[in-house]
Formats: sequence, structure tokens, C-alpha cells
Amino acid sequence: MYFKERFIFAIVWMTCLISLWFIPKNKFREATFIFLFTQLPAWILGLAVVEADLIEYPVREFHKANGTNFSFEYFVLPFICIFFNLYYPNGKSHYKKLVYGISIIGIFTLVEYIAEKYTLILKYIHWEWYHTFLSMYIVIYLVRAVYKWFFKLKNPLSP
Amino acid sequence: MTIERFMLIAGASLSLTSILYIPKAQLRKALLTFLSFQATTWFVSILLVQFNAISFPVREFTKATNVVFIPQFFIYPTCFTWFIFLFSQKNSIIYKILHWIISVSLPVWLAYFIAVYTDLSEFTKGSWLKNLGYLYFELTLQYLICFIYIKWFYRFNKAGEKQINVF
Repeated sequence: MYFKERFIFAIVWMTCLISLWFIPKNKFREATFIFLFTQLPAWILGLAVVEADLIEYPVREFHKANGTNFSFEYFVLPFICIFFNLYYPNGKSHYKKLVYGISIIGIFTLVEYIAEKYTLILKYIHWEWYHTFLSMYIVIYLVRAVYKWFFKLKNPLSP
Repeated sequence: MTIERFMLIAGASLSLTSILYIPKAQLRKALLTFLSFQATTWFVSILLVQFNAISFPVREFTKATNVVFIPQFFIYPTCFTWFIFLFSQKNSIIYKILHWIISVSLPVWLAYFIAVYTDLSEFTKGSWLKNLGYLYFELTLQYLICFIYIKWFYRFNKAGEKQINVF
């Protein structure tokens, strides 16, 4: 049952596991901080969204314990934030940074939109793709600001 | 106000207030200890609910999750943060052992009394002794994992070089 959705979960977990390889060894410490911190806004927002009937996750891993998608809040979003920050085009122009940010969030929004349309992983109830885009934007740049503050990098509030 | 709601509000405000007592220079370490414990607690809680070991009849997000949010997300992590902050490498081994026992006992008995006297959580199976033993085992393990992680994290300085004397 739900073969397609389970297959996608398996792929997602494998991808996260494999992507550990691509974290530079001297950045591993920073990656663990991003991984942990992303979960704070992710869980609060994720739970609030389900509670308010905006999104529904019909097929999920821990269906009895949790109404949101565990892989997404615990692995996918933290891993996106890790790679977003570790490969951020520091020192490049504002234009390039903007393109970088928008393209990553845009790809994510597109993938979620396709998943919504063709699988039972999530269903939008009172939700549109641009809500995803906006909330992702806020979460990703919030994580980036805190990450820069934590590691005492320059200008935590500028992009 | 029901006892459950009182516990949640009191716990959340105590956790928030305790932030004020953290020295400003140590805010980063406090955040990291808090987050490490939060992530593990949440993970364990979801597993426990999924496998019917514990249930949380009264909770904040009644629809979104069957796990109670404020204790798992704020109160227990704050306990751990204060464990790290009051821990001192300079003290004798007896002091350290006592510190461990008292610090682990605090969330254990808190969780236990919440389960016995309120509807915030209920043990679904096992005798009280078994549940208490289980709580001690689980939280000790979790403290140990997070403690090792914090130690590992602060073994390196900004340039990635190894440091000694962490705490």
C-alpha cells in the first residue's frame, strides 16, 4: 500500500544519508548546529500549519504520533539549510546571492507542488504554492541569520 | 484553569525566565545545548507515542500531533541546559557524580509526577517501578549523548583546531 509514497521516503532518506559525504569535514561542526537549529522553526511552523487545517499529510511515517511529515521536518529541511549555508556565494554580488536564494527555494517549491499534485504525501487544503515559497524564504533566512550570529560571522542580518 | 494548563504555562514561563540568568557571553552555548536536547527528546517522544508506550491526553496541538509540545520542546531541554551550565570540570569526581544523579533525577521525577498526577501524559503499560526505571535509563542515555556532543562541539575553536578545557 502507498508504494509510491514509501518509495519516495526511502529515496529521501538515502539522499540525506549520501549527502553527508558532501559536507566538508571542517564544516561538520557548523552543519550540526544548522541541523539542530532548523528544527526549532520547522516544527513549530509545521505543527501550526497542520493544526490550522492548511496542509494535510495523508501518508506519513509516524501516522499515530504525528500529523506532519517526520522526514521533512527532521531531515529534508535541515539538510536543505545545511547546504544552503555551506555553499552560500559569500563575497559575490547581491544579485548572485538573490538568484542563489530564489532558485533553491523555487526548486523546493516546485518539487513540493509536484508532490502535492501526484502523490499522497501532502495535500494543500487552504494553501497555495506561494505560501510554501514565502514560509521557506522566512525559515531559510532566519536560520542563516542565526547561523551567522552563532559563528560570529559578519553582518548577521544582511543577506 | 486546569492543573494541566497551569503546568504548561508555569513550565513555559519558568523556562523562558531562566534564559535571563544565562550570562550573555554564554548564550550560544545555551542555545546549542537546548537544541541538541530538544531534537533528541522530540524524536524519542514521537517513537514512544507511535509504539504505544506513552500517551499525552492533554496537549497543545490536538490535531497536528499526539505528543505534548511545551514539555518536550522547552521544559526538558531547559533542564539539560542548566545541567551543562552548572557542570564544572574542576570539581571532584564525587561532586560530578552527584551532579549527574541530581540533574537526571529532576526531569525523571518531573515526567513521572506529571504522568501520575495530571493528564498531560499517561504510561500505557508497565508497573510504576518499570516506568521509573525506563525513564531513568532513557534520560541518562539522552543526557550522555547530548553531553558528549556538546563536549565534541566545543573541543574545536573557530579555526577548527582542537582545544582542551571545555567547561
